[in-house]
Amino acid sequence: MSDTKQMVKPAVATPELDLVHLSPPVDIYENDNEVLIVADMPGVTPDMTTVRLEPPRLLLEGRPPKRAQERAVLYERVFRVSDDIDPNGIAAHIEAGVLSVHLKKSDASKPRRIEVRAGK
Amino acid sequence: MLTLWNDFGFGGMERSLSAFEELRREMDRVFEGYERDAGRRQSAVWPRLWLNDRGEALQLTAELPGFTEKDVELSVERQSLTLRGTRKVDAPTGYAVHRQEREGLAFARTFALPCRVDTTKCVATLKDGVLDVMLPKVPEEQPRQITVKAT
Repeated sequence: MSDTKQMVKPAVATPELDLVHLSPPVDIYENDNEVLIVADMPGVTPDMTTVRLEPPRLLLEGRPPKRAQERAVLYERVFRVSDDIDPNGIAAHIEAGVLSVHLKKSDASKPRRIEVRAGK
Repeated sequence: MLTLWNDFGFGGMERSLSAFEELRREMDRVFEGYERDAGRRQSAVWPRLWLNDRGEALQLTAELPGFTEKDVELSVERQSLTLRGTRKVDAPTGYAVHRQEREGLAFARTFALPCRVDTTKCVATLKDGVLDVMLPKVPEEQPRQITVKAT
């Protein structure tokens, strides 16, 4: 343990007390098939990203690596998701510190074209 | 379709009690302002960055999410550093926009360095949206150990 701050910490872990919660800016887009959420989370890698659906809440979390002499950061944002989102159709990827979450709409909620037939 | 979560359960009262309805509207107004700022609180100064003295070098760290190497320009002189960058945020084609807090922007920031650096040895890397610049100090500025001699 090179960090003196760590050495004076009590034996019983008091976890994450000095964690800084940041609310990352997000964009929300939608087309006929999906809702797309884009969030800025600089420094966050895929293994440190959590996307969790706890209906009706959708949680986005990212933990960037702790920087020397800085407090640890947690990026966090919560959304309410309507039930026309398919819980199995959520895909997420993170690139250059930008998280994209694709929320597929359930088939029932997609707009449908109704054929108009000529009457007899 | 997709709204920000808040834990205040005023939603159910809205139709029955007009006084509560009034209160709810007031709350909405308050939270609307709060929500609008929610994603921007950290962006008062943009980008967030740190300049640290690491002994033999100065280190600049800047948070640049969504930037590629091409979007960033860095120039160093012996005692100053300028960082420029531009980011465009375009809605993906075919999508409707519900919320756009991430801003397209251009910035330029110049710093006076606390000591002279060797401009030929500066190294900058951009990884996961974080720019890291190492600026080695010129030999005269390097920390030196002074041995204490007994006389």
